[in-house]
Amino acid sequence: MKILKSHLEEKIGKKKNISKLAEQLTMLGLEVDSVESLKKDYCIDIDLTPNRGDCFSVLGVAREIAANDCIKLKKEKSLKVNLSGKPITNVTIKDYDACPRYCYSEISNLSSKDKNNNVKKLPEFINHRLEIAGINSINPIVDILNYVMLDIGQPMHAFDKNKIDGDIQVRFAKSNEKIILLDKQKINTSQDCLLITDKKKPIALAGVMGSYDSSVDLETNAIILESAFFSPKSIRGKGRRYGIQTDASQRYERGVDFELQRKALLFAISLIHEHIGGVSSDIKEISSSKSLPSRKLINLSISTLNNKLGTSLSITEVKKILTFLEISSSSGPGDPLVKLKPPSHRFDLEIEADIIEEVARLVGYDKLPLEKVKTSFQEFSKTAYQNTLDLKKFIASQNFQEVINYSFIDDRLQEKLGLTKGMIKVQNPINEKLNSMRTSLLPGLLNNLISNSKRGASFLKIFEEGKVFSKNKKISELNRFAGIIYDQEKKKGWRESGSYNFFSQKEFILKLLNFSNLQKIILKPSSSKLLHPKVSADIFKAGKKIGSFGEIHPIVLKKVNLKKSFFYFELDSLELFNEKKVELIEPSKYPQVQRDLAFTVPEHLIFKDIESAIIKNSGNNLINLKLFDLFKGGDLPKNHKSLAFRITWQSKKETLDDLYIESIVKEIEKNLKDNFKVELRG
Amino acid sequence: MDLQLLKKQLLQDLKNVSSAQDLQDLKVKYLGKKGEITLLSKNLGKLTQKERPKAGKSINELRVLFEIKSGSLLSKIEKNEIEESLEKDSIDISLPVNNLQNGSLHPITRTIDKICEFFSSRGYLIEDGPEIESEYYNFDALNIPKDHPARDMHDTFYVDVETLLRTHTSPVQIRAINKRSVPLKVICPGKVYRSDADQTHTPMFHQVEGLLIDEKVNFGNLKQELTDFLNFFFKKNLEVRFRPSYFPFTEPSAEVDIMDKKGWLEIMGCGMVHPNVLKEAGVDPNKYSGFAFGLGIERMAKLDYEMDDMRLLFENDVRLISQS
Repeated sequence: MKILKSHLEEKIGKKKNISKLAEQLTMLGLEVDSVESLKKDYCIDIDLTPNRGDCFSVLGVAREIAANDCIKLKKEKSLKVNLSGKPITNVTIKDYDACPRYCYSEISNLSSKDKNNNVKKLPEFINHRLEIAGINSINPIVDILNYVMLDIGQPMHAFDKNKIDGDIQVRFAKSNEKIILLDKQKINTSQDCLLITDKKKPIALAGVMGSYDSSVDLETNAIILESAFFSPKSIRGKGRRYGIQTDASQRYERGVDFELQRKALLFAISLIHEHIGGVSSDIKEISSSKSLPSRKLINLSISTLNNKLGTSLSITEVKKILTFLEISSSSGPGDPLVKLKPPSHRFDLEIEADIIEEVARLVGYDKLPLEKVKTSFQEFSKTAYQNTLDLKKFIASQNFQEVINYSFIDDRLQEKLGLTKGMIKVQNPINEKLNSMRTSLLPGLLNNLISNSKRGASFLKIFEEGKVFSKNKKISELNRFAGIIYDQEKKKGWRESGSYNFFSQKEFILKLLNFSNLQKIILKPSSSKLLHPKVSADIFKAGKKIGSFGEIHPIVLKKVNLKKSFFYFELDSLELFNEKKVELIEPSKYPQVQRDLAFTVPEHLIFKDIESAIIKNSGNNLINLKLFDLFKGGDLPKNHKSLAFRITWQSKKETLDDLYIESIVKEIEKNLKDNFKVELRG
Repeated sequence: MDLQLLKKQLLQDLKNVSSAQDLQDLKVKYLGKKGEITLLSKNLGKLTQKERPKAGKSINELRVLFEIKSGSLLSKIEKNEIEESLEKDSIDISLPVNNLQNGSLHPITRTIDKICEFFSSRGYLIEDGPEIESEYYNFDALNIPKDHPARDMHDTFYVDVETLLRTHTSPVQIRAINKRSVPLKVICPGKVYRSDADQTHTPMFHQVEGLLIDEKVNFGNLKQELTDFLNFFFKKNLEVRFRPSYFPFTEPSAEVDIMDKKGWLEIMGCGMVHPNVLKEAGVDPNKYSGFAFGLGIERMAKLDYEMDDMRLLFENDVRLISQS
């Protein structure tokens, strides 16, 4: 809300230094966003919080300053207005809870134009103040009503009396009632919309905007002037629903002083008479006092107040502060509780804590003492956060760069990748490229790969930790770790290690699993449709799949127009958090025995099966089995490969003798030959 | 042979030695089975009883002389040989290595960790909560009923009628109390979502929520705790200002500003937990009180890393984020 310093000073009745004023407002909770220096004046832009509807006028802001300065506001001069006769139009309120008070007057013989057919001009100070507030000039009548609202906070509305049909009702909409608003927007009301209607049709969405058809224009010569109190509840949400936030609706939904209607009406009539002319009827008020907001008594304990603020204020000091805020107090002598009643303009004071805040505000937050926290002991427990961070640090130590992507992503990309199972759509996405919750971390990482390689990266190791979302009856959120390894560097000469391949990735994954204290892991060819079926693996922990890794499927590359392949992994975070119980075992003192055995193995047999068979037949003194050579061709039979193992035995109790070892080797040999047709070489 | 002559010859021979092999040959020449010193020793018997000790002593001195001289010569030769072989191993150590991309954590992760480090050290547990949240936890339980104007401050993404992407980390307040019971100290970092995008807003961003509930917690405790935190985070004694503000779930509520080069800078929101929130979570507001605070990580990161455009943080240009 933008107001002029001079306007504010006029209300307070004294001059203020601008920078001190801005500081004072901010420290009262009326945050000054900016101060603009004008010719002999300043425009102050205040960022109002939604609880302070009472400050939505120059009067409201002035009230705060006065309370803070411990002065009374300048008395308004009493208005002398000529009113005569009862209004012709009758107003009926159908729902007093929604509209506890409706004041109105009829003004006739109006003319917004002078003899020369020029539009009558309002005084410069009114035009200037409205302009500063960002309120557009419409016509003299509406401008005056807006000025009253800016000045004291009461939204008002004028209907062109000649455009409405008979008596007025304030009621909730019947089903499917339509109204064309001032901004020419046609809306279908629903039954929770409060309307002002004439005999035939709605003429205003109460407290939000009038209808186009009943609006006042330069030709209007008779009006019905409305100054009503609508309950915040009846107005809230309507503006948002129809995408209209008006100066009126913003004030009504936060709460307008319910004792202000008659005064505002008088003020508006006097300005109209003075600057436009016309003859006004008496003010008629329809109201139900029991429907007006009640200001319940709040019990304040001074000791609670001092405990919560760390202060030692006396009851007299507190009462003084509250009096300037127009909060009336009563308490008997020696009574530990003060009974308080907030004024009609405050809608945010309901409980003791609200009053405590008022006192804190007026004392000044900066004057409240600091105090070290003395709290109860709380047992430490490691949570997922620390585990996640440990893993992130480990992965980063393996030269991965962490990235963070948005959790929502283009649904078309997820569709392309076949990742739409259980996909959750955002109903009101910020744009269509961010319209669905990710079901995998792959799409985001893919985008990162594409953008970074476009910038010229030929080598990239990136990872992300975050949630993936899906819905299958219930919404589920799973934490994942995923990463991409992209290696398109050309290497020759001194760098012998070669390009990143499946086994580089397998080594990393096994290191990661080991870091996570995961034991007894089983790797199986991956069933993931995202990965190359021959160069990938699924990771199983106790029969449960916890992730996959390997080369990306060429189909994925094709779908996202990537020419060069990369490696990908994705793991369930929670499965990676394991506590490890460690028992240190003393190594044996007896000598180790080693044998190197090479076998001719048919090509289709996999290493793991041969290895398992050897382990099974190596007795219980086996301590190590290592593959140290693998080759094809040479003097081997066709479709065969040679696997060479180094096997190590050691006993905890004795020195193993050669005969024992020979018998085991024979057993291994026989077993491989019988079960796999695998021969021992030379 | 005359002993003096032999000594002269021996010293001359040692001077001509240039390799370990030469030295070995000399050893054979003098100390081998038919070596010259060996022969002299063998001939000692031919001498008289009287001549024998003196001659024996001289021969022995010659032997010791040889051994000392050849010993030191050997170590000199060996040292030279190692040095020569080192030269052959010589490489250009300035050649680059394979794929040296330094791994690092994202600036946001680092900032969150810096914040958690402080509160962790003060005994706060680090909690987590769902990012797809019900209206109840995100709004209603936090004293923000339907149609409340405060909902306008949150441009909310919905996934269905009553389910949304959390607009703040505050729902974790209720969840943490329900999960753990009071007294309680928790901190919750996480992603939050609001439909807003410009240089200082991204539709997804991060917050850290803090909550402390105990008996006799007051506003001064809140001021002290957050002042300590800000001094820790920015590694200096800052001018910190608390000013009134409004959050439906705290009363009194405050914004915290710090003095920056250009003036006061809003840094976080906080307040004493609203009694309605305590009640909603099943905590007796007459017995317990507490404070809560929430701060935007991107804003902290922006200040800490002195960068202007928050959107860059999520573009994941490795050239940028790897600097952290």
